[in-house]
Amino acid sequence: MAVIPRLILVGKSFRGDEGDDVALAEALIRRDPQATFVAWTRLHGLAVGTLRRLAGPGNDIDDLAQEVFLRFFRYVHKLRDPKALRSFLIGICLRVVRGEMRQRWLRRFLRLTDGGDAPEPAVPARDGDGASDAREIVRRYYAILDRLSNEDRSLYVARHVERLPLTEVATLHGLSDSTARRHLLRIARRVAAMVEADPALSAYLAEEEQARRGKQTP
Amino acid sequence: MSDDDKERGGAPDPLAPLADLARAWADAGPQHPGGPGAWAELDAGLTRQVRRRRAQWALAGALGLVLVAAAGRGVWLRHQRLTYAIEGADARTDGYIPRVVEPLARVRFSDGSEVGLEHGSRAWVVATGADGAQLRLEDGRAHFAVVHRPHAHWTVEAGPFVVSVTGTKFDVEWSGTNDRLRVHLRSGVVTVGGPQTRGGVTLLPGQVLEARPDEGILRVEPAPADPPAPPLRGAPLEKASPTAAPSATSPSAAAPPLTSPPPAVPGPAGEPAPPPPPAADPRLLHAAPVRPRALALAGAPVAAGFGSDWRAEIARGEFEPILHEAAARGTESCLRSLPSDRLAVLGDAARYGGQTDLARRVLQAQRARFPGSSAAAEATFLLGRLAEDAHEPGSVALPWYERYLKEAPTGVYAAEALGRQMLILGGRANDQRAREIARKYLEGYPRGAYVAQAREILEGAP
Repeated sequence: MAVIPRLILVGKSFRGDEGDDVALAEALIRRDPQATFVAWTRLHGLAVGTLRRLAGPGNDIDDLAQEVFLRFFRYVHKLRDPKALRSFLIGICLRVVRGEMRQRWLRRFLRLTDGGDAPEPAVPARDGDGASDAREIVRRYYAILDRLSNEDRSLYVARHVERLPLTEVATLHGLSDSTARRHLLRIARRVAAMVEADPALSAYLAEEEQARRGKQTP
Repeated sequence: MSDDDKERGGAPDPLAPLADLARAWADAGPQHPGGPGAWAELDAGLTRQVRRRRAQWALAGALGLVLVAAAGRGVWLRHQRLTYAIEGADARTDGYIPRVVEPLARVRFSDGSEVGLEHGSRAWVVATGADGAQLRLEDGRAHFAVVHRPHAHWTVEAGPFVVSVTGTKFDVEWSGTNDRLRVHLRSGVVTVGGPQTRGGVTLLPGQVLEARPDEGILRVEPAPADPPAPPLRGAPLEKASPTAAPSATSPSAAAPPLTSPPPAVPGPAGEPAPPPPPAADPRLLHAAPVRPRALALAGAPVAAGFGSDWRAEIARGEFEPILHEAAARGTESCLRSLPSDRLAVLGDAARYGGQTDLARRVLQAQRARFPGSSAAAEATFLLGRLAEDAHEPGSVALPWYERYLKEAPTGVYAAEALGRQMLILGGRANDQRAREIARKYLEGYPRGAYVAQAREILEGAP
């Protein structure tokens, strides 16, 4: 059988040892197949940490991370600025969490799962176990945040828990800086009121304040 | 001071310890919980995603193809010209039906529309398009069943009138001899445009429009008990009453035909007789016309400038506007009032436009009003040519030529008149008179157009 000569044009392939996010982004934009696994390896930790901060306890972070990366690889070739790779991933994390919160609210509304099947457990007495106390405080904190609207929760968590710069928070939510700032002040006042009404959280804040003052006074 | 503090006007965030605790809790969790299994799962998910997207594109492509094909078919059908078949009459290839000999001829169109032409009618399928057809009823009665379709547009011309149709059933009767129109709408809506209609008269089902543009009469009234139209394929018409005496293929009994007898044929020896005046239709004479202004115009002499641009128009070959203008003004008025030169132009336009009856009337008016003039003599010759062109017997044309040669023995048409005389008589075997005319022709016009025929007649003589 005659061998038909073929001319195969090969572009510059992405090497996994290139540590630069910009190079990785450029490889993803030109759909270099080798860049996919490298991106997943390099960005998975960032995505998981961001998702944990944004979503809080009680969520299947693996599932959310899977959804984040499916979206990430689907749209990353549209990324215009290679320097914004991580911001692009965080934006997807935000949208996935907002979608998850929306579904959770719907399930709760339909009384299927996620708090719809049982009332919130009573606050356990602090037993001196610092780790379980901290978990409980975190759970209560996120429970309060879940009472916000989806948009407000996303804004607040992105700014105060994820600690994204105000400009980036505004951009990710499609708001101007001033509008985002105004919304955040309003949401912070509401969260503060709800925290004050929660005995465990207000006690924790009082203890933290006392400890801070104790450190300041010799 | 942090950004957070600035947002609160410089005050520290009282909830910062909670946010710090949440961050610490998140950072303390496993940072890479999936491992190789998670990657394999993601890889499978990506593969499924690609397949799903390809399937969606394929589905969208197939759907697009189907839509494009459907749209293409629609466009093709939309621009497909209607075809037609004529049954029951001998038609020319250009769609002209000279005369219906059968009781009823049918023109069946590819969209299901159908036209029934009664015995004696003359019609012409002038053109067909994607949305309809243009028909001309030159004389007689026709029944239309036009299938209603979006954008359908049919026109039926009857003399100076135009019936515009989108989809309906109606009958049109037109007498080319007397310029009389009758439109009976059975269903749907039609608009009749033409003289005195001022942009068009819209008819409703059950109404009849009758018009005599010469007399300035235009009338719309409820339809009398007309016989049912013949069953046409386009759509079922009203059921024929079993008690209705006249059949669909016979002339109407309730509505007498408007076509009057053909003009008298001149005898070979006498002066050609002008056509008889139009028969009075008592229904119309006693009716109150709907256009009083039209009545006021009827019979009034035409203005001095009327028809002043006709000569230029006919030089450009535009004779239809002249005919429409004359019809709109009233043919009788024109015949009575137009000066000789414009009357001659109107006669030419009528001849070129195929309106033989109008041409004959114009030429006779020319003779009657301007006797002894060269225009009257030329009209005499042209009346002979009209008779020949209409395939009338030679005995009709011959007297006109004889008379012309008496009136203008050296006129512009003298050689032609002599030649035509010779040819008409030459067809008769051993005609002594034909030989005399042939000799006279060869003496007078040795280089004339009929020299060969003249010699042939003389050489064939015993």
